[in-house]
Amino acid sequence: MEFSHNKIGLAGLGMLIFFLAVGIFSDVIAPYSIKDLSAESPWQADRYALPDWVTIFPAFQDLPPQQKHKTDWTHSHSGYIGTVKQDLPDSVNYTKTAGMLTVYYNASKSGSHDPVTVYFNASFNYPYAPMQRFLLRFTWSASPDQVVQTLIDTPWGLKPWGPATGSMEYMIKIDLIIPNGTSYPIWDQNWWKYKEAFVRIPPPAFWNTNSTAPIDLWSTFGELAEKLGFKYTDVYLVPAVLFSTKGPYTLQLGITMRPGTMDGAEVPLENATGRVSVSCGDFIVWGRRFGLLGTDYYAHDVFSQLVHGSKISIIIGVTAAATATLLGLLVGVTAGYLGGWTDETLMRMVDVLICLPILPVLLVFVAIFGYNVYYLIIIIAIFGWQGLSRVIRSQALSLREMAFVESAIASGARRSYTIWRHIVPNVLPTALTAMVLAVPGAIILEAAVSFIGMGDPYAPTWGKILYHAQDTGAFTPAILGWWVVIPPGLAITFLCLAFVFIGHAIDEVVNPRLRRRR
Amino acid sequence: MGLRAYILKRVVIAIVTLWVAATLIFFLFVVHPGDPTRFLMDPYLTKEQEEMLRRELGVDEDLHIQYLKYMKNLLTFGLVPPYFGVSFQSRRYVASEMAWRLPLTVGLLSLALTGYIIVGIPVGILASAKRGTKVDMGIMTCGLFTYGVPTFFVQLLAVFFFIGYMYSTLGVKLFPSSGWVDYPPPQGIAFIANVAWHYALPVLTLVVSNFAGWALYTRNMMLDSLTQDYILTARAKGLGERTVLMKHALKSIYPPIVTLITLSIPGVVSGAIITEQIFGLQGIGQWYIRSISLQNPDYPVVQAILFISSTLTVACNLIADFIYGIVDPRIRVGTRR
Repeated sequence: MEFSHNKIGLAGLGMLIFFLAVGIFSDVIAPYSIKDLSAESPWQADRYALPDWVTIFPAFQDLPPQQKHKTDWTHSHSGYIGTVKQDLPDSVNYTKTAGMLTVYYNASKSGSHDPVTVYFNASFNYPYAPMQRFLLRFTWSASPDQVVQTLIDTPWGLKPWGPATGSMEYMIKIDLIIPNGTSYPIWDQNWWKYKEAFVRIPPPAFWNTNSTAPIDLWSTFGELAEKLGFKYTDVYLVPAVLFSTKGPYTLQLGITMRPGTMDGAEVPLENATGRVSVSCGDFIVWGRRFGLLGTDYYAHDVFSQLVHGSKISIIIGVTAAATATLLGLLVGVTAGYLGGWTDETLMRMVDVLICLPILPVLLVFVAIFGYNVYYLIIIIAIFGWQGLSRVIRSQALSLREMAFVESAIASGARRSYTIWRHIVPNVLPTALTAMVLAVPGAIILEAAVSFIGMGDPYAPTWGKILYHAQDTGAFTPAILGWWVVIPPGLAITFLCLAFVFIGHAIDEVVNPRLRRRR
Repeated sequence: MGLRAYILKRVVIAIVTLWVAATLIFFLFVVHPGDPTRFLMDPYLTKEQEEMLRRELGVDEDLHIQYLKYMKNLLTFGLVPPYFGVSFQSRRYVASEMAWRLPLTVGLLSLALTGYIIVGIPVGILASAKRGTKVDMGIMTCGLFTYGVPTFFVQLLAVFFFIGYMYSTLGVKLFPSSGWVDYPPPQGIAFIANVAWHYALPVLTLVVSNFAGWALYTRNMMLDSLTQDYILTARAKGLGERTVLMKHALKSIYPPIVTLITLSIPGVVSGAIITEQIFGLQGIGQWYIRSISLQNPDYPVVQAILFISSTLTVACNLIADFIYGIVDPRIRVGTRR
């Protein structure tokens, strides 16, 4: 066909096939599913992480990638780490199963009432520039073997009175030791109390009851900044200062235990037993570079969003355009062929519907009834077929006068037969061109609705990526997130271009005026 | 049929169309869930005051009474009370706020339209004159390309580059960040210059991304008329190519061009919505978005804007029909069915 000679049309077809392939295989190509990309899903890297490949530029070579270091607490039996001697005291014994470190304390083994501390280390290498955020995640639990809680008889039953006491008192802390040996106390079980201390860090406080807690220690906690001597609001200084050198870093877990005090008297050594467990959690460095296209504000992969959005855009665009074209074709042929009152009424209806602009009316529907992709398609179909119906009507009008139609009627053809076999096939080329050229309009309309913020809250459309970008500061000088702004726009552009090129090629084929003069 | 009958028929149709459109807008809001008057309700109002307010706003009345009031409200075009109603957000007459917002949008549209005419049409004529050559191919491809790029992407890129990068990173302030005038606004001539500077980037992006459609349309029209016999005659007479182009071919496409201009005007509300959102111009479009994306949408404002848009469309279609009626003698004399 002549279509194959048209270079522009072929280019358009190629682009369309590319997007279709991406859309069909989106679940395979995209590293993250749509569910992983919703607003409440866990982070995949740091907010606004750059794409991974920026490391080819020397300025970005040191950006930290997404890392997850398992804090595999290990004990070294001799030597020092920093200034701390690493012997295992007599009263302490430990076991380590997969993922959990348990330390057993038995004061009778050492025969002393003094507190003993045992240290465990987890090291990792960090050869990058400082990260913006990190997360230390683990669970700890402690249980003295005997816990005494005084109960008092109240009208409401037996209620606890006074603090509980246990056979063992314990304290857990975690320090970060940076390559040059300095140790920073990033966490201890009393750490949230530092906000209340204006002048000095309160003295270490032992706990003596059963406790367990999961810990998510974000570097952005103001309490952490204050504990380390920064201002409460300087949370981005914490990782910047702590991780300013490249080298091996060590997390040092220190567990201090001593016999408890029960009933006002110190517990005898045989009874001073207990255990402390700390899980081998993760030290997560939120990467400042990630994936093929980085992340957005919600720390979700932009590339996955782009891939999934392709599917959505194509489906919405083609469905809306097809429905609109079908409506336009039906109305145009009916009005043109039947004429008379049908023609007048239909054309008046068209006039009325042209009055109301699509985007504002669509926004009204979305505002009142909530977003629904079917509304989009229906409204585009209702408000988008007028121009086509007029053109088809005039074509039907002129076709009606043609000889072959008159002869068909003269030989007794029914009206529906004439319409279907004679009129419609002759207006199909116009309709087809119009349909292909209407798809970009539908895609852009959907993107515009999403861009305003009234789109589907659950679907990762391209317009939504741009909406979040504008809403969360990708345009501010601090971030200048080109990787969130340019890819969706380019994707919309090329998908629309594909249809425009194809439509233009079809137009040149079916519309003799535009062809070269032979 | 004659010219007078034609015009009369068109005017009657226009009025009826507008009425039906207004009714559609009315029913659009009748089906809303929730209480639209929550904005105007003060939690400290007593029961009687609440009742009085509801009576004044007319939300509890019968549907047909509400409808009549609504019709009177809209069809007086905000020139008499109730002045398009009271906005829920600002508790002022909608017409008073519209009085300073509408000119901003109209200004944007006029400048953009001028841009399309000044840039798009000559480019189209050039492409048609040099048909088949590299110039034509180049313009066509360029045109198709910018036709496919969505306007708001071009605008986002412009904001990103000029304002984000150049201004904030390099410190070069080519265009202002947002708004339509500095605050405090300068006086006199400087005021106009300031507004023009603020409008420069929006208008520029609009023209760059939309002139291609106009160029292509003009090109197609010119190609159509260049294949006519009278052009052949003009060339045979020995007239220069330029005269042929400008005096004969161009004149024959005046009606479609004027129609195109007239029919581009109603696109003001839809087009302005995104542009104003991106550039922070406080015109009709941005007002519309603000009113509609609230928890309780600001119905008077939305209705007024939709109605203005419908009126504009109907009026422009009417004018386009008039122009065709005047210019095309077949309609004036009356065609046989």
